[in-house]
Amino acid sequence: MITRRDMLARCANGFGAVAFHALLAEAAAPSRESTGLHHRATARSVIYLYMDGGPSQVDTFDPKPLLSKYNGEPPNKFFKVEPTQFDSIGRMLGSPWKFAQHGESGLWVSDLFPNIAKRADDLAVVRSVVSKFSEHTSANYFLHTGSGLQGRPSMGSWLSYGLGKLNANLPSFVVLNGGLIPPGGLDNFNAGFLPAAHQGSVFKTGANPVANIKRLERSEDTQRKKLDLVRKLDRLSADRSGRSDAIESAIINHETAFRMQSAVPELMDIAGETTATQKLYGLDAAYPHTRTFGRQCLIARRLVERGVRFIELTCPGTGHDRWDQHSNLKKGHEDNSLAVDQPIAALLMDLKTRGLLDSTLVVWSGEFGRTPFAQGGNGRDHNPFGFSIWMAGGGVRGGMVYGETDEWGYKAVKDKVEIHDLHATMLHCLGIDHKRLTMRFGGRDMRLTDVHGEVLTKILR
Amino acid sequence: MIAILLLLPADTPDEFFEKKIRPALVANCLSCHDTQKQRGGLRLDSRAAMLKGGDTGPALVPGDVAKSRIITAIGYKEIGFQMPPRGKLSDAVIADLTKWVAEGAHWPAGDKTTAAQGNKFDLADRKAAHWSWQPLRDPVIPAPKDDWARSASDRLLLADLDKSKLSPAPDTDRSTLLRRLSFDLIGLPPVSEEVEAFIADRRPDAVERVVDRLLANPRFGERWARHWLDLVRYAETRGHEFDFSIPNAYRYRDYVIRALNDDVPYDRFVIEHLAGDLVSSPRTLGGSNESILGTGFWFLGEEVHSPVDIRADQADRFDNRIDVMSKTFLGLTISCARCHDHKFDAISSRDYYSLYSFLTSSSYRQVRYDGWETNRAVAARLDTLRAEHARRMPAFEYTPPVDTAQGEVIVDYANLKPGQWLPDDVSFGIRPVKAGELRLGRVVERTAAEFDPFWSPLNYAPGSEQEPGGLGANRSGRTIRTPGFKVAPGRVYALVRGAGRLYAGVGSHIMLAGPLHGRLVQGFGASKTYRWVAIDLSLYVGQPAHLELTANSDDFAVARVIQSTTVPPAPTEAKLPILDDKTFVEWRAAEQGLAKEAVFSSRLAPAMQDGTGIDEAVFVRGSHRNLGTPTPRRFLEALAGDRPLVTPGSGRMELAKQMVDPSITPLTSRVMVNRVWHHLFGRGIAASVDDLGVMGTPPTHPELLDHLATRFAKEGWSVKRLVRELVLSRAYAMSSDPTADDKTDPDNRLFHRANVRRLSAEAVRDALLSLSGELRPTMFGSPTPIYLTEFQEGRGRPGSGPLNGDGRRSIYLGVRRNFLSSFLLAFDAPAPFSAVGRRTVSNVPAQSLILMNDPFVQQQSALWAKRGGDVRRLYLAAFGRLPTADEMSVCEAFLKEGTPEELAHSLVNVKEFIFVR
Repeated sequence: MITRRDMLARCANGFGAVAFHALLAEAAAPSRESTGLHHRATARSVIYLYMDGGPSQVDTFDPKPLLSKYNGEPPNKFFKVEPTQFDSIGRMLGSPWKFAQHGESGLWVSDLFPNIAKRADDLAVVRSVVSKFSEHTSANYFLHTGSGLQGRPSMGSWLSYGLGKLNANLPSFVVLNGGLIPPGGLDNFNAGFLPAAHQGSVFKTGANPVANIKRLERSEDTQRKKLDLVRKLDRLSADRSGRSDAIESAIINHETAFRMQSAVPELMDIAGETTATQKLYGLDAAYPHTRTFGRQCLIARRLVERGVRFIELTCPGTGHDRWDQHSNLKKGHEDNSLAVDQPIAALLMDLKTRGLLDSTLVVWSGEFGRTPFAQGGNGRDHNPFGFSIWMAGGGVRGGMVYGETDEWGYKAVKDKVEIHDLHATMLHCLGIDHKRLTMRFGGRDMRLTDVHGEVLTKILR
Repeated sequence: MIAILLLLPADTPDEFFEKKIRPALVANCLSCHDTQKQRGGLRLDSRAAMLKGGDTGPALVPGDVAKSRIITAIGYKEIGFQMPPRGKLSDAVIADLTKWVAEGAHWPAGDKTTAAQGNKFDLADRKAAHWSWQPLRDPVIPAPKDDWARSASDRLLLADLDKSKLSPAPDTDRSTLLRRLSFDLIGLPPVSEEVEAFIADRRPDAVERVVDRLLANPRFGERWARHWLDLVRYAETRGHEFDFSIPNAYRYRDYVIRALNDDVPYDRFVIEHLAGDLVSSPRTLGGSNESILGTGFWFLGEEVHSPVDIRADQADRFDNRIDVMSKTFLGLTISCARCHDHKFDAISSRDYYSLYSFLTSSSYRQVRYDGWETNRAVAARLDTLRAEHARRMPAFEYTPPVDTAQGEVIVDYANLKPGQWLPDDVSFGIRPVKAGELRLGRVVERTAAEFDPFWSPLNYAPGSEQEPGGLGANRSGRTIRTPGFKVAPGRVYALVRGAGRLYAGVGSHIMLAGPLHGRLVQGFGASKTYRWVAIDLSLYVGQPAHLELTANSDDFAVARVIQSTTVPPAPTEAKLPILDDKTFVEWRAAEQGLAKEAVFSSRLAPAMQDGTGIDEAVFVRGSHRNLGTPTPRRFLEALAGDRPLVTPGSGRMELAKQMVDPSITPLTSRVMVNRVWHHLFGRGIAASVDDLGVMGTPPTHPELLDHLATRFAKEGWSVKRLVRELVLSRAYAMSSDPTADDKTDPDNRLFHRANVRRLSAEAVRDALLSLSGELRPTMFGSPTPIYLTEFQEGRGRPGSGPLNGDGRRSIYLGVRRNFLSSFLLAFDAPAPFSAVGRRTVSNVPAQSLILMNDPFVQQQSALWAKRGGDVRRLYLAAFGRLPTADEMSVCEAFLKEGTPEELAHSLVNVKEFIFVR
């Protein structure tokens, strides 16, 4: 039996829309058992490893020997070159890294990721993703919200809106900021037209990761006394004018906020993790950015353990403007991979060891890929026509490749995957039918996937 | 291989179709193109359907592979026209289909041959079926049965309550009413003295006096302007990657505040938004053109700094403009008709692209709006003065050069057509100069648009912001634009003199921050004689464009602009007569005398500039690569018929006039009165204030809505009068306390009592400043940067402002798209991207955390405590009422150990502080 106060509390905390509708259905037909989901979920949380700037597919997960064979030749000899953002079309550029097959599956991974390569059998690499935009910000908004325009709800907000919270004291959508906020800014993580409760909370690394989490009073006792007073006065105020749902919800909320003050620092305190765990994530690494990203990955696991629904990691600033190597591809990609390779591999392994990988969907992606030909001499420009991402855990089959680009790694030619398909698949794994998760706005029932999206059933178990 | 194939027995056409073609169609095409679904309006399940084709024309031309769109699509050569979308077919399948088409596209007899049906969109049916398209009908006002009702709106409301056997709630107490009025009208709490005075004022017109005082308070405009700014997605930056500024955007914000305080009739206000640059007699304020500032709203959206496809980017930006415009003024979601006819409302895709064409026919500028009429009068007098002096000069002989360049004329200032004279200010004079005419000290060598050195001293008022992107600074007042044209192969050539800068407005792209479109701007150095300068727009062939030429030297002039595939021959130079400078002494003195009257310094503001009429075509399925039916500029067919507006310019003025004519557009007044009702009663008569279409919420009181809308339009569109009438109604004064009728009407749909409402984000912050005494009355001007926490990061991060925002009201805080105030966002201030007439009211821990721990809140409550005062005064200030005996004793008990600062901080955490009852 759900009490009125329960209902208010759940609404105050962003109780999930999907579950809410299920609850109403349940109330109408109490005998029907309901999980509150559209179908059985294979994941409870998502960790989104956002490779800001666009890693190169032909240097990471999509080997193209022809590029080395024709290295230095003009690309328009072989195919029609589309306009690029920097309009500086160089020669064909073979990958500076070697590729090898890994794991039982024989998945191809380049030398950039020696540690991730060891988890090859957990990865489903999708080599045929396309985006609609060639510039960062539009592509970032598109990747995050399904629309190239600013102001739409982020995928994490949709999940939060659909599923609600498992932990009342933490937000359900957390962004762990490694140092680089992607182009387009915090709007990549906004709730858009969804209620503000579903906005991504951007956490910095440190004991007080978010604004206003730390009390300013000298002692907890002082704050406690104030809150007792507030509680009494709120009650007297209600006695005077009668009950109002809006005001009662705000009162419940106030209590949640008080508890968050201790829940958040506890989350960020990793002193209780074993030395082995800390080492695994690279917290003792020589390269400082490995330590930063390692800490983010470790916190991500702690957030999963605490029931947070969607955790996005942004990249540490390695001094190269993210993965956006318009020049100096070699140095830039090597520094970036050095920062993320060990921590990501550790995260996959740690989740697996703790039995969490099966219920956690891990996604690795940029907003687009890079051109197989050079920009200038030694860089690569943006390429939205075909690039690689991977997923692991949470119901995804491991050790497989889906989709293909052409022989140059330029354009997706087989099993093309849209960003909308990626979104549909993520929602699917969490038990949500992307076509039924809607919010009425501006005369339409809006969806994360707009009017598109197909679940990539072939990469699912 | 070939030999083997030749040895196989050939399939009959039927066999070939059944073995190869039908399976290929079924496997790859029919899931989107059959009886169930017709993506692109296309069916591929019969030969007839293929011949009929879809939005882009016939899919099949038997025997002609090149003309068969199905073959083009599967060839995967054209980006944006590749089928099937998931991936290219195998070479073998492509070869089969190509062969099939080449050999005449045989389809076995007896198969179904019906072509796809047309879609079911019927504009007239849709219009007839929905309430909001119907003409305004002023209802009969029911006779009062008792003395509860004070106004016609009360009587209408009461009649509906009666029907449902509900009674209106009792009147609220006076202190609650005052607090409600104060927040609703000026967005601030009443100060303690006002509360006490009002409670004591027993005169029968005490409420009217308060209302009139609040309506006359300049804070009224600030409160109501904020409601308006939500609609026009007001921001001061362009968002996107680097969050570049929209220069001088706050001039628009100030314009809205003034317009509301001055109670500018709403129909006029609408016209100024749509076409304030085109009104024949603009409203002026100290000589400045006030009306033109309204057009700034078009440009408050996002701009992408370096899109690869600028036409697609334009389509997104214009979509946002159409969306904002149509929701704001019409309560319609016209944007839903971007890719297809509206799914529910009487709005076609043609309607959408007709409106789009108005935008293509107009452009952006930073306008100089000070000294507007003075300068126009000066320019006209200057022309007369010169003619008079020229008449007195000795005669001379002059033969102008003949220009032989061939090509498509974009503009020829010697042969100007109506509507083609498009300088952005008076500094090119009131007309082109004519060859052989006299100017100070010289003979004009060519008929041309010449920058007039008379205006050389023009400058920008201190603090004026300049364009951040590649468009460049110092354009305003020195720029002339050409008519619009479609880019053709070849190059565009301008015959110019002097130093200048040429910008090609392709896709109306103005950021120009990336290398790819850097070619759209080109500078050229000084030259005493005319020469052709070229710009290469070959990347943009087929797209609409115009040029803007900016004078970088005082002798700048442009005579002709053409586009051509051949390089024009170098212009011949004319032999100019030498004139004796002494004969100009008097003339010069006369010009110098006139110059004293000119206003050379001006502020700048974003505004629209009119171009020449350009008609777009439907972008089939929203794609500019797929053009359909042409769409001449006109208003919505459902309202104004399918009658193109034939105008030399954009036609925005004609559009605006139709929008504010209630006999054509009943929506404009309905939408506005519904918004005002929403802000005063907590929910609109139609709750979905931005969408009165089929997907919106129907009005709970249609007669009341029409009554208010009819009177609003009939009685001069006065917003203040409307607000006054509504807040003086009995309905407004009802208590919000729970009543017995809550069971029958739990959502209060019938307004049987007042609604409890949470304060808006701005009101929470402003109320804190009001308590602390730090609130400054300073109005207008450049925004105060928000206080940035260490958690607000990203590209284009501005400097942080002071914690207390300099004591300025929230409406004057900076609105930088990528760095919005986290305080205001937490309390549901909308992110500025589309029209938001109804904010969400959320309830999140972030709000409580702010009130508990935000340094600003603690700072303000401490300052409030320092102003002194007992519990009684604190209660009056925070809640607009006296404490009860219980509250008094609880607070006094707290003060035995706790400090006044702690008490003050606790009081702002009491929920009553952020709610209006």
